[in-house]
Formats: sequence, C-alpha cells, structure tokens
Amino acid sequence: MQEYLFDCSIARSETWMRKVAAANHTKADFEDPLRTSSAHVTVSSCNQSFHYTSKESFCSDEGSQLSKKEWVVFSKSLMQKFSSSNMIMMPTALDFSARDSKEYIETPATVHIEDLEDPDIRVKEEKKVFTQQEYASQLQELKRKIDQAWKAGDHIKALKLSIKVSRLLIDTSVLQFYPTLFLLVIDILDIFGDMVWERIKKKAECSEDGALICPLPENFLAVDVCTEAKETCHNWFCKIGSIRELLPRLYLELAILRCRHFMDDNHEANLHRLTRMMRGLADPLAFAYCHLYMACRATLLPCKDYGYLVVSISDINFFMRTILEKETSQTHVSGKRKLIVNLMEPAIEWIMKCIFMQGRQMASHALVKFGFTKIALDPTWNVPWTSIVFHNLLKQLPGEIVCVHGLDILELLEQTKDATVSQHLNYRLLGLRLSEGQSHLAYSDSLLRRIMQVLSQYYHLEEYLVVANSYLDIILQCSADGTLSSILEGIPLRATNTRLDESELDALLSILMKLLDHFNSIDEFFALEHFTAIHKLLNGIPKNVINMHILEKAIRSQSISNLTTVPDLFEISKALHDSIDILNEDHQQQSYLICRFIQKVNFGDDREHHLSFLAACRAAFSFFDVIMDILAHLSNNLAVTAIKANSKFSNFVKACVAFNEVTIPSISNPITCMNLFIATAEVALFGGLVSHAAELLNSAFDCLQYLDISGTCKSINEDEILSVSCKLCSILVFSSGIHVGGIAEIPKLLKSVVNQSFLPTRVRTKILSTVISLCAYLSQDMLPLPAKNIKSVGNEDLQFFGDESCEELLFLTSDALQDLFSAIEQEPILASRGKLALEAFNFLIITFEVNQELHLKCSKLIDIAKSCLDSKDKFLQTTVSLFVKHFEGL
Amino acid sequence: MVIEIKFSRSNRTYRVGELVEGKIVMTLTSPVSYQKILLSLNGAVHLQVGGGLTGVIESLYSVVKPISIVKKSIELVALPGKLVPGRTEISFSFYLSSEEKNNCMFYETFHGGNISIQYLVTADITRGYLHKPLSATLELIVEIAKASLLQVPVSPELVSFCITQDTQKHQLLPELVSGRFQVTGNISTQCYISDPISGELTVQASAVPISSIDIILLRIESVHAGERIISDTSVIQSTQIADGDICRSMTLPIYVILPRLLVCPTILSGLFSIEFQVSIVITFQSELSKLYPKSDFRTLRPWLASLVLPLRIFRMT
Repeated sequence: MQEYLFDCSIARSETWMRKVAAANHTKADFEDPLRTSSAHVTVSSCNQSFHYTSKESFCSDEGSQLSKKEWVVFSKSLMQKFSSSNMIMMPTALDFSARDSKEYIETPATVHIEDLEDPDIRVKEEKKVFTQQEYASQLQELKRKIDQAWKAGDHIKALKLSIKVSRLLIDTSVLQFYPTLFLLVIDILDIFGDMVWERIKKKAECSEDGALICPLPENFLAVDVCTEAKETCHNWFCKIGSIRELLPRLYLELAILRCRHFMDDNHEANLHRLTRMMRGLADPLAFAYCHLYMACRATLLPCKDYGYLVVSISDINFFMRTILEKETSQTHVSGKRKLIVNLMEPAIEWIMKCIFMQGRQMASHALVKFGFTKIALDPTWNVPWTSIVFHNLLKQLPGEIVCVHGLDILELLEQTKDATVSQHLNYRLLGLRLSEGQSHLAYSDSLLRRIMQVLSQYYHLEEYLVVANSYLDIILQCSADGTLSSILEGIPLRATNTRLDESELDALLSILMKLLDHFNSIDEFFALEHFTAIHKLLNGIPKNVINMHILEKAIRSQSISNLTTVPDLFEISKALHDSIDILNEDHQQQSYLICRFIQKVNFGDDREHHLSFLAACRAAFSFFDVIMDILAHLSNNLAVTAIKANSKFSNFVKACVAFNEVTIPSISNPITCMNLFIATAEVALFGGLVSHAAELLNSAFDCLQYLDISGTCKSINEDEILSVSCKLCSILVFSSGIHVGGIAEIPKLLKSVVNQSFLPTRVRTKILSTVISLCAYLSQDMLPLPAKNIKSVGNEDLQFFGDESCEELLFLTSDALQDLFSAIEQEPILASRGKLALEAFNFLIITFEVNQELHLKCSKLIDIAKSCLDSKDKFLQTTVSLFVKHFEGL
Repeated sequence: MVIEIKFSRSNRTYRVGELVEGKIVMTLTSPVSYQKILLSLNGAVHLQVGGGLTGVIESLYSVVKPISIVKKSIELVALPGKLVPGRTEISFSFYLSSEEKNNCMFYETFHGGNISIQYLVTADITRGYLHKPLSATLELIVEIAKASLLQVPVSPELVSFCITQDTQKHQLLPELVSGRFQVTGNISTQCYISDPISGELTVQASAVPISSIDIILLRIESVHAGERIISDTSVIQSTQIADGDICRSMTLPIYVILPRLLVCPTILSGLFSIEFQVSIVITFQSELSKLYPKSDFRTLRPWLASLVLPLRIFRMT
C-alpha cells in the first residue's frame, strides 16, 4: 500500500515537484564521495569496528552454508589485504551530524525527485574529510538510520538512503579503499534487500491486518504467492528501475534480487541481463566488484544455472584485455594498472569459486561453458585468456581435471603471457595442482620435457627456482634423474655472483628439503650432483634450517661410517656451530644434533682415524661443554675397545688418555670434570698407565678443591656431589697408593666438602659414612686382593704407607664420626633425623669392631632414633633388636 | 470525524467493465445525523496548454475545458438517518462503465504535464443547510481492458540504428567530427506498458572518450486548442546504461522499465494526444560540458549525440 500511495503522490504533484527540484539545485547531489588527500595519514583499522551482519536465517541448504562461511573468510581477508592509509572524503549529504536539521522538509515526494527521478543535478558540494575509521562509523550510522526509517514504516526514506550508500561505490579514486568500501556498502544493501524480502514475504503470508494466513513453504514457487505480494514486489523493481544512474540501479536490483523469487521461477534470463548490463560500467573496479556482488546475491536465488557467472568471467577477461592493451608508457600508469589488477583479482577469485563450488555441478560442464571441449582444452573464446583470469581458473579447477588436461593447460599457459600475473607463477600453480593429484601422471615424460624447455627460458634465478620447485614432486615421483640433475645444474649457473634474496632462498630451501625428504639415506643426498655448489648458495637462517634438517636425517641412520659423508656432515655441523649466536639463541637443538652426529660416527677398526676425528671435533665445537663431555667419553670408549681388542694398544690408549687430558679441563662444570677425570683414570688404570691415572686422579682432586673453594657449587646438584665423592672413595679403595700428597689428604678434602653448609644433612651423612669406611679400609693391616683374572695393576703394587699414616687415619675417623653425629643432630625434620641415625648405626656396626666405645656411640644413635621416631616404626624395632643382639657379648 | 474510502483492491486498479467494490469507513466521536449518503465517480481529461511557461497570447488559451469521460453517482443511503459514534462501514459496488451510451470512451489514468486523466470517487454525506457536508475523495486507477484505441498488434521486432557523426544535425565537437564515432544497436519502438523497453547497444568506435550513454523516455502531449495543436515534449525518465568510457564492441543490453502512471498507452484522440519517444543520448567527455552542469539532454550540445525514435505503448490485451 505504501508504495502505491507514494506513486500517486508523485503523479499528482509532478509539476509542483519540478519546481522543488529546481529549488534544490543549490543543495545538490553528491558525487566524488571519496577523494585522496595524500597529505594526511591515518591508521586504517576500520575492520575492527565493522561487524558483519549475520545472515543465517537466509541460508537453508548446505551449499549456501558453505559458501557463507567462505564468504566471511573471504571478506575478512579482503579487508586486511587492501587498506588505505589515506583520508577519504564523504559528501556532507551523508554526514549526519550536519544533516539532521534539514530533515523535516523532506517529504517522500522531494526524496523521489532528488534521488530516484532526477539525480542529474551536479553541483559541487562541500565534502568532509574522514579517516577510514570515521568513514566506516558514518556508514554504520547510515545503516542504523536505514533500519530506523524502515521500522518507522518510511520505506521510501530507507530506499533513498540505500541509494545514497550505493552511490558511494561510483567513486573509485581511492583505489585501496575500494574493497573495504565495497564490503561496508554491501553490508548495508544486504540488510536493505533482506528487509524488502521479509516485507514481501509477510505480504504473501499474512492478511492486511498482520494475521498469518498461510506460511510459504521452504521451496515455494511463484504460483504460491498471492497477486498482491507480487504487485508489491513488481513495484519495488519498478521503483529501482527508475534510478537514473547505472551503478546504484544495479546494486539496488542486486540487493533485492532475491525477491524475484516471488515473481517468477526462471531466473536465468534476469541474471544474464544483469551481467550484461554491468558492461556499461567503464571503471574496472566498479565493474569487477559489481560482478562480485552479483555472485554473492545470486546464491540466494534457487537457480542452479551458473552461465551468468561464466559470462561475468569472460567479460572481466575482456575488460582486462582492454586495460592491458591501453597505452602505458609512463611508469606510474603501469603501477596504477598493476594495483587495479590486484584489486580486481578477489572478484575473479570469488566468482571462479562460485562456479566450481563443491557439489554444485560437474566441473566438466563448466569447462564446456568456458569454451573448452571435452576432449582437450582449447580456447574458443574470441578473446585470449588473460593470465590473471587463467590463474584463478586453474586455482579453482578440480584436481582430477587438472591432471587429465595437464598438457593442454600447459600449452595454454605458454600462450598466455601478459602483465597481470607473471607467467612463471602460472607455471608454478600448474605444477602445484598437478602434484596435488596422488596418481601418477601418464604423460609425465612429455610434461617434464616441456617444463625443461620452459625452464631453459628463465634466466632469472627466482623464476627458475619457483617453477622448478613446483615440479620437483613430479620429477621425484617418476624418478627422472636426468631431469633432476639438469635442473640442479641450472641453479648455480643462474646464481652468478649475487647474494640470493629472501624469496630465492625460500625457494631453494624448499627444493633442498624436498630432495632431502625424497632420498632414503643421507649418502644418496650428498651424492647428488651439484649439491655442494647449491648448498654454498645458501646463507642465513635458511642455511641453518637445511643444515639442521640434514643432521636430523643423518642421525636417524644406525651409524655414519661413509668416509665422504662424514666430512660433509662435519662441515655442516661446523657451519651450524659457527652460526650460533651465543647470547640470543636457544641452541639446545643444534647442540643435540651435533652430539648425536658425533656419537653416530663409526669408523669400525680404524680407531686412529676416529680419534683424529674426535680431535677435529674438539677443535671445531669448542663452544659446547656437552660436546666435550661426549668427546671424552667417546675417547674412553675407543681406548677400552682397543684394550679389549688387541695386544698392541698401549700407544693408542696413551693417545686417548692424552686426548682426554687436554679435553676435560675445557669443561667448566667441575663435577663433570671430576667424573670424566675419574672415568679416564679408570681407563688408564685398565690400560696399565699408572702414572697417567695418578695424574688424572690428581686433576680430579684439584677439581674437588676447586669445588671446595668456589661459591659456584651452589648451582651444582648435591646428588652429583654425593655420587662423585663416593666414586672417588671407591676408586681409592683399589688405588690408594697413587696419590702423591699423602693418603689422608683425600678424606680430609672430602670432609671439607661435607662442611659446605649448603649440602643437606642426608648428603653430608652419606659422604661422612663413605669417608669413615674409606679410612677404616685403609687402616686394615691386609688389603684385599684384586680379582685374579684381570691383568691389571693392583693394590699390592701401589701400597706404600707407614704407621704415621695410620695414626692420621685414626684421628680422621674420630673426627669424621664427630661430624657425623653433629650432622645428624642438625637435621631439622624429626623423621629423617631418626632414619639417618638408624642408617648411621647400621653403618657403624659393620665398619667397627665391637667394643665399649662403639656401644656408647651406637646407643647414642639409638636414643636419637627413639626420640625422633614412633616406637612402632619397623625400622626402629628391627634396629633396636639388632643392637641388643650385636652387643650381647659385651 | 474521519471518513475514508476503501477499495477491495489495495492497488485501486480496475479495468473498464469490472465491478468496483469497496466501503466507506466512518469513524465518529459524536453522533451525526445526515440527509443522505452519496457516492460519485467522476472521470475527466484535464487539459492545460503551455504548462504555465508560455507567453501572453498563449496564456489566453491556457485553460481548456475538461473533457468528461464518466460521471455517475449512487445513493447509498437515500433516507435521512443518524450515525452512531464509533466505526461505521457502508459497502458499495458499481460497474466501471458509463451509464450513457454515447461517447463512452475510457482512457487510462495518466498524470502528465499538460494532460491528466483522472478518475475520482467521492463519498458525500449531506447534512442539511446548517452543517457542512462530510466528504472523502480517492482516486481510482483505470486500465483499459483491451487495446481499444489501437488495434494494431505489437510486433516484437526491434529497430536497428546506427549513430555516427554524420547522423547528427547539430554542431559537434571538432574532435568528434574528425575522429569519428559509431554506435550501433537495436531497440524496440513498440512495447507493452508492462514490459521494459529492450534492445542492444554497442560502441563500435569513438575517438573521444564516452562519459555516459542514457536512454531518455520522452512524452509528447498535444492539445487541440481551437485551430492549433499545441505540443509539449517533456522528459519522463532517463536511464543510464553506460557510465564512463566503456569497452568498444561490447554489447550492452537496453532495459528500461516504464514508470507506472507517468506512462500510459499511446492515445490519439480528436481533442488531444499522448505520444512517447525514446531517445538514445551519448555524452562524450568534454571540458565544455562542465561549464553547463545543468543542461538537460534535450538541448543538443556539441558533446552530445542523440537519436530520437518514436515509441508506441500498448496495453497488453
């Protein structure tokens, strides 16, 4: 009803309105809503404030659900991809802060004359400058106004405002802002279109007073709709049809396109007409985005045809051709052209996506529509493909079709060469699409031959690498070794005396990774022709990345014994080691890889070689203590295997021990040093090198001293101290004589370690016990004999001490005992104090002879334990009974 | 006191010969006594010459006596009575036809500049001499059921056209004359009122970039005043089909929906005539055009090229 009244009111007062229109000349129309002003720079973050209106209620079938989700992703990426930092101008007509005061004079009639009927009033209007953010919020405000007007029943005002909004898209002067503007505008138009749809639907379903008569079925047909609703719908189309300007008319019709559903069931003709009407838009951006909008809105119609989308693409292609053919001698023009092409690409991409939308139709049908025959791809279009359109077609084509028509596509690609998309990117895309297909290509030989021809035309390294990289999978798949080596040969040839840039490095890295992945063993990989030359080209982070991957691959094998591989890997490890920035990086991974590599190296019986390899490693990887540690162990291993294997080992073992004597001091952690010294001393003893062993033990004692003095030991694990102390004591059991500084020196030292206050009582009591037992052992008249079957240096060869030592030992023992008692008493936790006391008791009764003094000490310990532990404690009970039993005879 | 007329059809559109049904709705706050309730239908062609823009002599002719088409009244309530407060509805119905047998020529509702054809339905409640009568008026929109005026079948053929610098009679920009241009296509010159004007247009060549291509719908209203026929041509609607310098040899569709009420089937009667034209206007980009921002398409400027074709409009039978 509203619509009819409106038409009548115009009709009645037409002459009057003409006068109004004339009077409005000064107020004028808007044009050029966007203007650049390069002097201003702002932050573009309008996408933050801009929210998409949910359209869930409109998508029923799965296909459109999918496309809606994709659309959200697409639109987000579109906004992020292109944003302009420039200021944008908006006509004050749209600025509501300035507008509100005038509104009372607007009757539907003036609105019509201004916007629908006679928009040809082109008087320059003042414009306001906005940032994108402000611009977006202005549009948000407009959106609100439209909604408000609609809800108030003023549909004409809502339409009028929507037309104003759509008219913003006429101006494409701020190129980068156009996609954002497009999204902002269509958001509003979508809402408007949906409101019209709801209104007509209500008309069709409800009586005049709003009561629901009969709801329309989900997939209704035009016959289900009553005449009145149809009339109203027709009226909307008439009204929009009377908009003079082409672009707003198109956008508005697209916004309410869905309403065609009420009027007839055959939408193809309309969609085709709309597509063709867009040819009247001469601006490439306006043209492309209008097509994009149609592709979006048409999904709401129940129309399975997609011929109009194919026409869209072919028109865009045609348009692109004309852009390309235009004279572009000046660089700034070609730069702008490039930008325009980039901005148009999303539209092409989306339309292509719509064409090949999953499950929508058979892709081969689409190809036929594109002018391809079923047997071979053959362009029968009157205009050749532009590479950007072809690029997007290739991107969206289903994989199986790409695989079937690979050669034909390649042929087309060879012919498609223009400035829109660099040809090598198209070759690359084809390569990637072909590699996607899991099946083996029947024509891979001829394909590769053609690709080699293509590659030979590229003299620029990046293009060469990009194309080669994309076909590498296919080459490797059909194991075309000749092709591979000639491709690799081409790389160093093209990289003449220039440092590779980032993209080249990336491509090269990717190539090497693929190759590394392809070969089963690292030996094969290194055996590749031109590998060294290519590897040398790398630098920086990509080099480290590939080096690490090579090492990873290498350490996966059982052992590395190939005499050519080891030096290569060594060089790679060295490069990796040298590249480490000590201060900044986390280099655990690198050190781990190098360690594993060194451990995996195995030269079999060629131990001399191995030892020299270790020496080389020591020189190369001085930075890592971990590596030194491993080197020392490996050298010990070598010595032991040599001893086990053969008689003539003494010189080699000497060399190994000497190696360690040099290696170990470079490690900063004293505990590690001690462990290694002790281990090496054992090996030396095992090999009969007594003096070496003595030296090494001396070094270990030195470390202990160092530990004693330095305050750094706080960082050292107390368990390590415990274990290394025990170990030292135990080795002294059978080599007590070798220490030059006097036998009592060691227990003394250990005692001083124990007194370090940071050590927990548990550790202290243990060490003290060890010291006591060592003293007890050393004070024996007769030392136990070594095992007979091992031919080695024994205690009988080493012992040489007299009575004075014994006295010293006795003194030491009593001193240690005293310390032990005080240590136990210092333990703060009662339960553990009791346990420690009981343990000490057990230790004492096996170490010392039964006498009165021992009884005294032991009863003291038992008393401590009793005071700390529960009387029902099992340990306590058994110990008490043992105590009673042990001292029975006393 | 509110009196409203409501028709059974919300669009108020009826064809000749059809039964018009409706009701008069009266919402009253106090009781009203009346003498009778009348409903009348009055259809007439109102003519005006010159649209108020003419000179002194022509202004003498400017008002021409309206031509009556139909005039009838029905007594809904003949006897005096009283309306109670609240809502009262009185139904009515009548046939949309003339009671008199002579010159019963209906025209479609039309609102033009000089000619307007209107059918008004008025409800009157007469209340004696002391009270002001209550009344309400609503326009009824009339469509002709048959192509009674022109019995020519509409041919679907399109007329081909070719616009070049040589087809233009006015002075063109020198670049256009020397550089040449050619726009070809076809367009329908006969169409049904419910259908759009259709056709195609292709810019084959143009030396000067194109700024816009518009399809202008023109209306020629002629009034026979005395011995003279006074015609006035006015623009009803302009529809842009190309914005900017479009690609050459790309075919654009011409698709212009005829605006409701501003267009009616072509009428050629003895006393007046309403005819239509369609004009294809090509605007070329020119610095000169900026000096005349308000110029309309009918003034032939050097940067415009146009082609005017007659357009006959029919009512679908």
